Amino acid sequence: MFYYQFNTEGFVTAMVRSKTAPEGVDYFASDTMLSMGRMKLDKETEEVVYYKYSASEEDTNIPRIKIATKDINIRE
Amino acid sequence: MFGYRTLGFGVNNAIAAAGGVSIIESIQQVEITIASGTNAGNTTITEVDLDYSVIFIDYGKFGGLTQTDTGGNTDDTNAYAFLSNSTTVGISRSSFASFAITAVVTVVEFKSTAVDSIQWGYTFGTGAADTAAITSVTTSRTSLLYAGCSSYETGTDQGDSLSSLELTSSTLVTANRDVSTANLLAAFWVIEFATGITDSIEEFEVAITGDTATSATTTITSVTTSRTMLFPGGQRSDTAALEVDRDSGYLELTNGTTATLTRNTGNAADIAIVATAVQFDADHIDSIQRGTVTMATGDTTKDVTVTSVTTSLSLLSALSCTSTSSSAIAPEQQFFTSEIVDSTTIRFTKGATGRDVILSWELVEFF
Repeated sequence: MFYYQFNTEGFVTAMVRSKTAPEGVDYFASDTMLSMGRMKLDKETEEVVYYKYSASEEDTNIPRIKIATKDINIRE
Repeated sequence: MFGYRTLGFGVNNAIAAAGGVSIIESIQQVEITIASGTNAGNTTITEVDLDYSVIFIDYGKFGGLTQTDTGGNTDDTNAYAFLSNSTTVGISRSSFASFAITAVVTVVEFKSTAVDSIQWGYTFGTGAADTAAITSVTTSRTSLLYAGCSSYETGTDQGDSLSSLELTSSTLVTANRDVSTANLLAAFWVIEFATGITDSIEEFEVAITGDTATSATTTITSVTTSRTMLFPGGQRSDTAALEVDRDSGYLELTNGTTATLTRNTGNAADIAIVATAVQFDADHIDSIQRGTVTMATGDTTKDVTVTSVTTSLSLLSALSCTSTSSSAIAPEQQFFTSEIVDSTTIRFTKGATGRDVILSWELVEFF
């Protein structure tokens, strides 16, 4: 599983692929995301939004990907 | 879409050799190209178990990457390596540059009995010390391994892409930089060996700081060099332009208690290199050979003859480099890859002639 860490603004700060969740890490996805540097979490929709490489605007060419929380994982 | 070839040798379904106990399931050395106009490339490998496999890309641009184009922008020229799935290994950069870059990496699959856990991850940010939370490990049995980087520095400040890894605690990895302006994705592996596989593990840093020295040493807890392998942990420089003669050095395990960093030119620039000395149990290492070599100005390849090894059980690491060139780095002339060609030959390759590269290497043959 891929566990994603975001800062308070929602931008990704780290990712770890591990069998179990690191302590304090709330979001995960079952598949890795390439071009993963410039992405931000939309906390309302729990989707990852990709940003254009050279601008602070969403790259709509890359589909948003739903990301889950550990709370959801617990039910699985 | 992406071209690839498998180099030299393939999978070893390792059987314990006489005199030793194998911890290796397979070792695969592969070449991967990110084609012009794309930001990722991949190649197919013989199936490995993701829970027990890692990728060695040495010190990234110094040992694991090369290019023939003269393009020097940092976002175009750096890449990190990852396992997409059990049969696919990939590399990625942040830009879609109009030229190709190539990596030579080695996928090592340990036997399931040799490791307790393997984690792969990255830090991302603009800081001097970006962190990633990891699942808790036993630090005395755990080594970090540098996995490359992708930079969002759109200029030629290659120093901005240099980072070194630190296992800060049992649950935290830190990527440190001395030049930090643009976003950097610094990738890493966390390898937690099983009890009894290693005799000692020590992460160390060798730094040349605050003076014009050409070398520096660090004392480590005594190890037996014939069964101690250095796992690359990245390097740093405080100079954005990255002149390889002064802003980069090569690492050597000089003896059982000393690691040495050597650069060509004394300069006020501060540099550092990080590695983890992993002393394996005597049953697991058949041989270790080490050396330094110069790729001359006119070379694009340099072959070194070594004592015969079993290639399917061997891993070559380049431990970074220096140069006599005092100009800002030229990736096509100073980025280089390392590979095992056959049982008695190792090869280092850069994309073009024009500058020399002085590097150190370590060839580990497992049982």
